[in-house]
Amino acid sequence: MTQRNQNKTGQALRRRVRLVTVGVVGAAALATAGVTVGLAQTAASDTVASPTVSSATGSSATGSSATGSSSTGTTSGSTGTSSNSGTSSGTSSLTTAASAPAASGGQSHASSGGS
Amino acid sequence: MSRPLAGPPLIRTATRVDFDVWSTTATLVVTDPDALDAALAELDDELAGIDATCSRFRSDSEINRVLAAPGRDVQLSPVLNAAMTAALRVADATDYLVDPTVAAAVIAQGYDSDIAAVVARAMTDGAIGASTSAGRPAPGAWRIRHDPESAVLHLPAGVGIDLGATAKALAADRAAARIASATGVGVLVGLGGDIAVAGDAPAGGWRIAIAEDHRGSAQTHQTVAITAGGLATSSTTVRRWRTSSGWAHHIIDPRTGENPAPVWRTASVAAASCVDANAAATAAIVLGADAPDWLTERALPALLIDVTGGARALAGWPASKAAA
Repeated sequence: MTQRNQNKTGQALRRRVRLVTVGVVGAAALATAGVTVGLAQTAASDTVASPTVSSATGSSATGSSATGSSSTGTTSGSTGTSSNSGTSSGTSSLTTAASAPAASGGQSHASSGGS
Repeated sequence: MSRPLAGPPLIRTATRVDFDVWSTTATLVVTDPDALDAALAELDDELAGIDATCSRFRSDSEINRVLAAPGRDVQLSPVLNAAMTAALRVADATDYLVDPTVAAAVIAQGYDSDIAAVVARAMTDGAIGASTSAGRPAPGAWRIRHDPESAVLHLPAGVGIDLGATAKALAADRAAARIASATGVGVLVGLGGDIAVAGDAPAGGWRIAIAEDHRGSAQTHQTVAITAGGLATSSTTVRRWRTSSGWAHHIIDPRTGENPAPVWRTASVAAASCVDANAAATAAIVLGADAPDWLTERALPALLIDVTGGARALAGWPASKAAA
């Protein structure tokens, strides 16, 4: 092999390496973009699901998991119209008082009892 | 002024008025005597709005119109939308221990009209309602589709709704808030023992007697003071009637469609709102032996009275003599 031919082969190899490098970098960029889009779609679906939080989606009635990772009404209850176990974890919660009742006395303003 | 829902005042002082409504007693207290009439007008208006939308005992109520149109999207009024939002949030927050779909079970127990009429009929007929062993689990509020933003409700066929577990407490919360806003004074609204306060509390807080029955002081357990939010009591000793298999009451376990096992006869809870306090009190009666842990985990101050009269104070509720 002559010196000239060796130079041509070296240039061809360098060109091929550059092409492979560009291809790998491009594929990586596309993959990253795909992940980003996927995350965005997940976030969007969560946002869409949130207005139904208080209404407890019906998916639990069929025993399947609710839509999205922040599903509502993920009761562990059984199917159809049968009872739920009462052990599920809802997404709503009862809000505690800013301060607990204090012991008091004297004339009351009102009574709280069964009605 | 016409007050179509309310009976004549039972008590009227410079800062307080009590009257009958919904077969129970309403109490309105304000910190400024000059605000009492305006506050009463606001309360009357709120009660009328809740009654027209949420009462299952009125054939012309909005909820009955909704129940007559299952299986399709229905646009709700702002008041019923708020009531549904509260009821479904409570169902979710209590793991469906307080569930508006208990309507069929409540009716099966004989509670098919105003409680005064139910009790009167039971006394006349001897016993009413189905056997307590004939209960069926509630369909479950998770089957209801409701978008509070657009105020659209989709009720599946065969799913009834009884807003009785939350509507009265919601009325108390809403009335207290609008009175405080309209008058700028401190206010207490009590509806059958479901109490909401708003505005600046009087010195020492709003003093509330905790009793088995809100109407009488025959058995007052203690007096506590609150400055904000709500306090509610659920009890199996009132709204009772005789059925073919014994006494029944108005609290239904949605898991069974029956009255819960008799562990606690009365539960009082304080929370950030009357709706939440009432929901927790009812859930405690339904939960029975598991109620203390459930309330403590949620940091909800509570007083539980068991069926023998023993008291148990939880989560920061001040110890009463009986509970000490």
